[in-house]
Amino acid sequence: MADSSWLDYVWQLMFITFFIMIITGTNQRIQMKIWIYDIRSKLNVIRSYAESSRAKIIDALRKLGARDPEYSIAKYIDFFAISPVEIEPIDIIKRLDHILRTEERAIKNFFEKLLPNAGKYERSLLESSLEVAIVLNYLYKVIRHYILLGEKQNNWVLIMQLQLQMPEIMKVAATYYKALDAFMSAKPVGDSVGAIVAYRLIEESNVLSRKIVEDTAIVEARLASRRVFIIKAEGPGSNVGKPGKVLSDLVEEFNGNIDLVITVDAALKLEGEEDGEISEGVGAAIGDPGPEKIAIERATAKYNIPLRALVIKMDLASALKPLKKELYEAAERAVDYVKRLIVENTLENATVIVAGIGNTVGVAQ
Amino acid sequence: MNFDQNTLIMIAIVAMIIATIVKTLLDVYRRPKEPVTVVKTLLKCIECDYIQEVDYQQGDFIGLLKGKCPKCSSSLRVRGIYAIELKE
Repeated sequence: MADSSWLDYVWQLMFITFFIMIITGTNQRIQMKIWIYDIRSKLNVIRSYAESSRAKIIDALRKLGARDPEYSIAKYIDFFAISPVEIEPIDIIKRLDHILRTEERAIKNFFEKLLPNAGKYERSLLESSLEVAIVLNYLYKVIRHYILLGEKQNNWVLIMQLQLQMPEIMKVAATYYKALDAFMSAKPVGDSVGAIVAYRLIEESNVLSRKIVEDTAIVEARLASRRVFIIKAEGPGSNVGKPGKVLSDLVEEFNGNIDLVITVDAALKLEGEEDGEISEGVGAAIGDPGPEKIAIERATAKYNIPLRALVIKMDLASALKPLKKELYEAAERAVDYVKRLIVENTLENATVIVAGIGNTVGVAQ
Repeated sequence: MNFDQNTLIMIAIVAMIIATIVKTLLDVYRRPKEPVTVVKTLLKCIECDYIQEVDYQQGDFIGLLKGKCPKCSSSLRVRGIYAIELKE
């Protein structure tokens, strides 16, 4: 009997405690503390990614003979580009293009001054690696900002939103961190599939001429009894080139006498789709912020040139990490697909442009 | 040992609370396992159909001429570089 009354007291105490916690919101505060603890532990991982990526770049710079790389990287790790005014759309593409080119030139100049004796290839790898480090540093600072803000304002809704988004954010951070290894060691990444398709087309065709314009290779070749211009970023350094601008100039050079334009690129898959699925469509398959894509659209629309697109599907992680074998095999299949598209959509002796879009790290021409 | 109904419910509730706390802590500390990958370089002879898969070496890139074909002594060219997931 005594035992039973003791348990009753414990029961009542528990229910009263729960009741008081719910009334005063203590349960919510405990929940928030657990979320904050979890977010902070994940934030530490992102910070380790950001610090490690910075250390790797500094180490690589030192090996290439840079003087005081710590100071230089600290100066550029917060580098940013401000988007042009969107409420006034006139000339927005021109203004965006100007900002992107200025950004690119600034980073190139930074490495040219820092590594005057290094080659273009080494510098291009470090440029992309620095961009990865900038993303990781920014991600760390943004998450830190929101966790501090949530704590300061006791805003459990903000903390809860952050907690719910953390798994996805961690995936993105881990993906970028892995991408650093690929860019520093010049291994092709998932996004390189377009460049690989272009390279394989060059390899299988009878090459007539090659030239490099604005970090972009233009190879004129005979393929399946057609005159084919194959465009890809200049490799094997890390580079996306200016495929839109180069393609547009080429169309103008021929006064629009081009029978078909095909763009090949990596595309983000939907959940449920397989890595390496190939899809065919129309339009410009290129994932740039705007200027390159619109250049292709304008050039082909001006002369009524059919614009076909071929995409190889993958998720963001696969696009940035070293190329998976399944994606390499998909690129091989895409080569045959492009050849079939050319044969089915043009007559013999037609002039065709094929643009392999994407980062050409680890892929020559 | 004989427990009355109240004691059993109490034990069940305490066990659930402990299990929830342990799971929360495990979720905080547990890191998802990353698959181990190895990067390979695919070499193909420029003359015959000889193909060889070797370990990736720093400096390899697609299009690089690397080594001689053991079948016809022509050059081998890097045709592909890709990562393979190692099975545990």
